Amino acid sequence: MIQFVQFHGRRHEGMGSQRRAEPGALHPLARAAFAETGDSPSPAQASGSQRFLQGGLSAPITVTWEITAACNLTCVHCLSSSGKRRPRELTTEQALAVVDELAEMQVFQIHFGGGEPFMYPGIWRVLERCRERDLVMCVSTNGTLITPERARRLAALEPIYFQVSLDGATPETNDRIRGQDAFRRAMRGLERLAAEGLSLTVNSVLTRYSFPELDRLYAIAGNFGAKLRVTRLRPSGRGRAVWEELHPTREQYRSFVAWLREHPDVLTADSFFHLNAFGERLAGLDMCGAATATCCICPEGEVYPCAFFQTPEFEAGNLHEQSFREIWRHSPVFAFYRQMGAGSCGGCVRYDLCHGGCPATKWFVQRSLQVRDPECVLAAPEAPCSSAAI
Amino acid sequence: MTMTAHSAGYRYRLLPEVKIRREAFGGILYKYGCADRGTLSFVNSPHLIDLLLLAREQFAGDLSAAIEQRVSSARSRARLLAALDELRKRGYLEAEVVANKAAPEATAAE
Repeated sequence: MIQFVQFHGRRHEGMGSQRRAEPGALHPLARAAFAETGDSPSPAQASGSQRFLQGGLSAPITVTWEITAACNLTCVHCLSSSGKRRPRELTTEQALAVVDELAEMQVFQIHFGGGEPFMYPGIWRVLERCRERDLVMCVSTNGTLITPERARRLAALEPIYFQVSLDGATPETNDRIRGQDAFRRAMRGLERLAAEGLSLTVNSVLTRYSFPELDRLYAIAGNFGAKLRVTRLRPSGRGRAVWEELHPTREQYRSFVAWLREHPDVLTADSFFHLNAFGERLAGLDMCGAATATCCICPEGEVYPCAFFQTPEFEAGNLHEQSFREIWRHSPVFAFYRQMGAGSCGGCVRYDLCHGGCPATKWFVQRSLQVRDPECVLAAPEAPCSSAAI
Repeated sequence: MTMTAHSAGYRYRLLPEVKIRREAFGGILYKYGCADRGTLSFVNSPHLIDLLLLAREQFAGDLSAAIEQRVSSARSRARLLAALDELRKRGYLEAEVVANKAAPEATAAE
């Protein structure tokens, strides 16, 4: 019987080129962190998407590529602490070679971010090469550098998809996160992209301040013919410093799940699977796809399990020294990541729903992978937050 | 009875924007879209993946023609037609209704 399974397949042992990881090659902190999580579930025990992804794929489905650290904004929650260009950023020629390699591996999609991708000197050549190689492109931009001429030039590259960041539906809320005048300039960028008929999403990181503005964000996106995409705040990069202040309260999350139910066209980047533990499975992937369905290339060629896990102890390799294919197939970090156990969530009755939540969030908040997600909805109730209002 | 590949009432065609990648368990189908806007399915049948690739490479996406060439048993064809109809529902294929063909036992109509 042929089956079509969304994130649901058979574990396979036959990936001849996928060597078992050598524990000695891991950073000591990573080795200890992985060891604490225990054994990975057997194929028979694995559930949902885990049954499929823990076997590994021949290539990622999507690669997130932070192509430069240069950015004209300094958002307080920036996951990659972007601002200035970094000294060893990949040259345009190196970047083009990476595009070719990803195409040869049959990666489906590249998601460009940064920094601000339009501050990378070779961005046009890279996008054009992606187009030539039939790679689906998605560009995450702050929108402030989109001129009418650039929008027209981008339209010639279709199919290409854009995410323009707005972290609030008002200048007050957005600009406290993204900087002065960022709201107005992002709206102008949205107008220019929409005028060319480009496929758009308004991307919004959910914070306790933006939560009350979800309906207005939804309306703003609709006005541009765009979809709203709401993503989870992570304590990565500069996000570590503002995590406690900005991350939504549990009651907000509970309301958010209900709001999503009423707005099924809102996208979430599959980033809220930890909320499945409320008892209702949200649409999309129900586990971390890092190192299995996706990974992240950073400006200086570093490769990490995901964009939120940029820390030296979990660096899987560097494109200045190795090919992407070599890193994807042989990196000990990736191999151990794919075999990670359930840690302290192993006995939880809701584990099959949330798979323990986001490893990067665990690591940056508690320096451990075996603990529960800091936003686990089954944890003891949090103290009332007095700063929930602006 | 002898069945043709389109005796279920549809002639199936793979949409050009659908990408197919072989994996050890079978393969992945992916349809253009940004991150979570895209459509993605894992197919745990190498045989079906082979057929989809054959249709793309040799028959300009015409799956019915690929089935005609590759699949001889009526039972296998019926099973494949059911699978193709599932892929149609998921947005990877388009189906053209074929007039004057009928095989109720293998119907793939919803």
